[in-house]
Amino acid sequence: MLECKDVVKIYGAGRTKVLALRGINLQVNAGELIGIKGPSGSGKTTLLNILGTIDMPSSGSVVFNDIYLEEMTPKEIMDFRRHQVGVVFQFFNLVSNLTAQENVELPMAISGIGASDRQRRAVELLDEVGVKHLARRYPNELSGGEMQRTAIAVALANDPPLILADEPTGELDHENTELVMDLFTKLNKEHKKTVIIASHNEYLISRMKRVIELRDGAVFRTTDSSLIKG
Amino acid sequence: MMPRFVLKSVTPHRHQGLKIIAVALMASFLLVTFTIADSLTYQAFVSDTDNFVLRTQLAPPDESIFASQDPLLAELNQTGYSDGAEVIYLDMMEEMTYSASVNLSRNILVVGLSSLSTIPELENTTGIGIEQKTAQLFGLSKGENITLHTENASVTITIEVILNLTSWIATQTASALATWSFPPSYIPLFTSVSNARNITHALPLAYRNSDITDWVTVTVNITKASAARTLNHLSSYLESAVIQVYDVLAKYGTAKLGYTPIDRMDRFIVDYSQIEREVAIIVYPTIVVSIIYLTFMLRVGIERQKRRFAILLSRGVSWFQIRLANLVNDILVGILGGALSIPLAIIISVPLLPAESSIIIGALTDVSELMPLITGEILIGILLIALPATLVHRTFKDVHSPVQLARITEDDQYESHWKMMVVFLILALVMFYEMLSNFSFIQWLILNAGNSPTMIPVARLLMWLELGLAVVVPVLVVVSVARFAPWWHTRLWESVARITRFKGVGSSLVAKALSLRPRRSYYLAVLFLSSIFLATFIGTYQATQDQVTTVDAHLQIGSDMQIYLYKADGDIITSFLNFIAEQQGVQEISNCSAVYAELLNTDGYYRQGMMYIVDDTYRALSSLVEDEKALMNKTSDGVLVSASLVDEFAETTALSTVVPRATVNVTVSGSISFAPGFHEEIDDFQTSYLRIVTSKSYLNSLGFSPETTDAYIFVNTLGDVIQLSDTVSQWLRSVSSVGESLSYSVKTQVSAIQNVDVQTRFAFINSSAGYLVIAGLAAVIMNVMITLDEKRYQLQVINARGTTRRQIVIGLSMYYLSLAVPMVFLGAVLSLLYVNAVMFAPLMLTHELSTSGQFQMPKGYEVVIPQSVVIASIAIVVASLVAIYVLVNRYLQKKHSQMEED
Repeated sequence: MLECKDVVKIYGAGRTKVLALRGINLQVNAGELIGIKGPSGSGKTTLLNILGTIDMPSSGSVVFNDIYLEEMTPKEIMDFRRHQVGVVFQFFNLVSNLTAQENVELPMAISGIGASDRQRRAVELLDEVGVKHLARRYPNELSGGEMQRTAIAVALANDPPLILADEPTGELDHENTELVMDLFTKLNKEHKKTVIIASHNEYLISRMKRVIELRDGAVFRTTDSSLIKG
Repeated sequence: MMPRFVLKSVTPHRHQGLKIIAVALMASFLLVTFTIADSLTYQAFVSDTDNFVLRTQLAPPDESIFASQDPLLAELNQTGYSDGAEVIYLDMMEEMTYSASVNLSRNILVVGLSSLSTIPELENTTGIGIEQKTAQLFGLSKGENITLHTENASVTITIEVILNLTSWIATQTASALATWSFPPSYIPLFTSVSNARNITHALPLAYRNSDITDWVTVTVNITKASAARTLNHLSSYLESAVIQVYDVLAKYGTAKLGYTPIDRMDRFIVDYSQIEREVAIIVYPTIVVSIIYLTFMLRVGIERQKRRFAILLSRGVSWFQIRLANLVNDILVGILGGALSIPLAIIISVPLLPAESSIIIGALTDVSELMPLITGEILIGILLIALPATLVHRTFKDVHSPVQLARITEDDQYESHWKMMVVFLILALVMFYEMLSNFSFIQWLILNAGNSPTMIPVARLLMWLELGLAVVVPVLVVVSVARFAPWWHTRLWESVARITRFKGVGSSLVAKALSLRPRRSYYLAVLFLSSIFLATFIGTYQATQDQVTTVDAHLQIGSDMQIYLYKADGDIITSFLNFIAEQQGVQEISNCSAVYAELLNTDGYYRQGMMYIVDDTYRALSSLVEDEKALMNKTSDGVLVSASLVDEFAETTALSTVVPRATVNVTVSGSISFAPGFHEEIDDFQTSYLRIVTSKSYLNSLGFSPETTDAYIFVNTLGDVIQLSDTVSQWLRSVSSVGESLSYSVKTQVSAIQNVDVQTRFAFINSSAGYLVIAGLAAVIMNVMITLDEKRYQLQVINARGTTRRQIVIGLSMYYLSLAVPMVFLGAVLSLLYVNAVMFAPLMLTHELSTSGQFQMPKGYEVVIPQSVVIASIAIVVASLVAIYVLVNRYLQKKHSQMEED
């Protein structure tokens, strides 16, 4: 489904050049639940940004269902972001002057889904993540856990096959971390979503089937728990 | 396609409201300034003319018109002024000018006005009538004789009637005739209509053909003309009126347009261009600063929404949609702000306007005119937002999704703007060259356009363009210079950070934190600079204009007070001089005599005017311009004439006086521009009256000693001029039957120094200055809030690490002071240069181009910096520091969780 081929990312220029990714090779199959761990500055967020087309690699390729992401036109990138990928951020990134429901509706509205359909689906998604009763509240009226669950609903809005989460529990307490992780697991198992989560949280990572550890912008180790157990 | 959510996400409500209010305020301010300029000019014009006298010259005179007066009048009423105005008088006035002496005591100019048809007392007489007020002024009574002179003959005629115009003809006509104003040296005489063609019988002198003019006088009550309620309306109304009158007259006889109200109005508008100049001087900085403020507001808005844009982009919104949403948003802001500006302008302008007429109120009376006004204001609103929106276009490029989404702030890169600054500096040099060049093309155009009524709009446009250039270019230079503020300010604070490390970690941390975002320094630098620039400029301009007005009034009066003593014999003059010398504060007194005289050149060309015979006390007057004083001393063996007329006479010419009859050869030794009391005057008949100044000793050396009983007394005092005026009036009443009129005359002249109209304009300028300073201050405070908003995380961290609030407040205050002080200085210097450029450079050019003579700046024509400007500058800085103190405390009290809100 998703493949990284020698992905390199360099920030800055000249003497201030920073090598964020040093030739990442990675293959992700549909329906996988993958964790990416590593210390700060190891390149987790950069990798997720590239997979989500928020950023582009300096060299190398990212192939999604036989499509080379770096070769896409701006319009194709927009379409990719709208339909193929849902991103969950550490700081939630909800639009502050839209209600929880409107935030969920936003990606659908952009994709041209009619008002009644998107309202129905938004309510369903909010219900699924357990914050339906908060649909009319604004982000600043929600707790961290509620905001992150809403953000997950936002990521699911257009039913993308790929979910990327960058430190989704970084701002949450243990209880909310459990809730959010359960949601990701549910998405993976019941909705057959491919989920890639970048996190420091060892507990969170321990629940992943496959864990990719990054160090200094390169894959240091890959652990497949299903193989170990098997 | 642009989903509603995108629009809603891009445009936070609170920003929307602020932007709409900002645009509305700016658009309304434009409207208010134009309205006030228009209204002041219109009001001054209407109050000056009241019921307008349309004088249309007949050449040759055709009496058949008067035989058919009633149908002509009826037709004019029917076809010419059917919109509410009325023709209230139609007649012919035959005008001749004579030299005359009244009771052998005064040289005057007489204007003979014949053909006033309804003066029964003058029917079948050979006498004349004099208007009542004129009679009072000159102390004339019925039965008294007036001696009229030409070059070769003289005749004495009798005053048959003292005319009370208000009872004699309609009130409107009387006031209309009064507007046909006569300088104090005139006596208008009236003869009977039945003797219009027998005027040589009534005034049996061989009159000069060149002095005879026949006029059809149509008096129109313009206050009743609904189509003439604003200056622009009035202009087109009068134009159509003149055309219609001409068409009607052409049916009845041979007529050609002579002096029309358009001539007068055009001249009036040129005279009142000073109002527009002042308005323009206020409007242009307002526009420029408004655009700067709006640009900041938009830029800050975008910067604060970068993360939001990044979120939208990550959700699949395209850049096109975001920019389109911003565009739609800006257009909506422009439309709403523009529309809101109209009621706002009405609210602001109504209390400011002294009378009912204005652009706004004029439009409100006619719904059909309201739509263009609304459309125009909406367009202005859109334009006001369009330029800043274009300027901040580049800000979008800074939105870098990965960075914004991860909440990492990017470091500012110092951008080199030297190329832009060089362009602006070149523009500035061109502008200053343009303004200072003796052969300025624009000035030439303005002057030449000003001489042609049809070119008046072009001249006005050019003046506005030039003044606009004069404002915009320095501001652009300033903005460019301010762009370098981040460079030195960052380095300054890095140094401060290094130095203060030895004095405590707290201050060092504050300094380091503040030096991280140099771009903010640039915003603040421009805001400080523009506020100070405006406050200084407007305050200084007002004070300077005030001084120039006072100097002008002094020059025209010749001193603090000028008193005419008519028919005064030597004893009266002596006793008056003694009386005035005893008054408290009186410093200088000069007593000049005057005669009516003619200068004749070798070609037989002559010009008439008053000749002032001065003595050493006049030369010693402190109000005399130094250059003129030097000129008078240098050329004391000759006569000095008005600057614009000096070229018409050779060095040696003939001087002739009427009373006493004498002619002597004199030397024209130079020209005068600003001799006290002798400003050149142009009367209603478009005649320039020669002013001649010469010394008594010079005339005596020629064996010529004109003795007159007219005295012009100049008084300079350190005391209260108005109080002195009252004292003088009382004295005059005690010794003269014409004291009342004279005291009025004195007061009129004194009040010229304290002109109400000028004060109204100053009040307007003050309110504009206040508006701009408040706007500037608000913008500075807004900027401080934004900066703190941006740095609060750093400041809270510093606070958490043990730096006290006091240290942070001191650090921030020093930070702003280090930026404000040089900007205050730079702003003040620039504004002083600007005052010089807009006030004195055009004056110099206009004078030199129109007279081809070297301009000599009168004493007192200099930039004045009022205390209020210094106080305002300090107040801005202090208010900013108070705002910093209050805001720092407020921001540091916020919880960490609040910091992470969008």
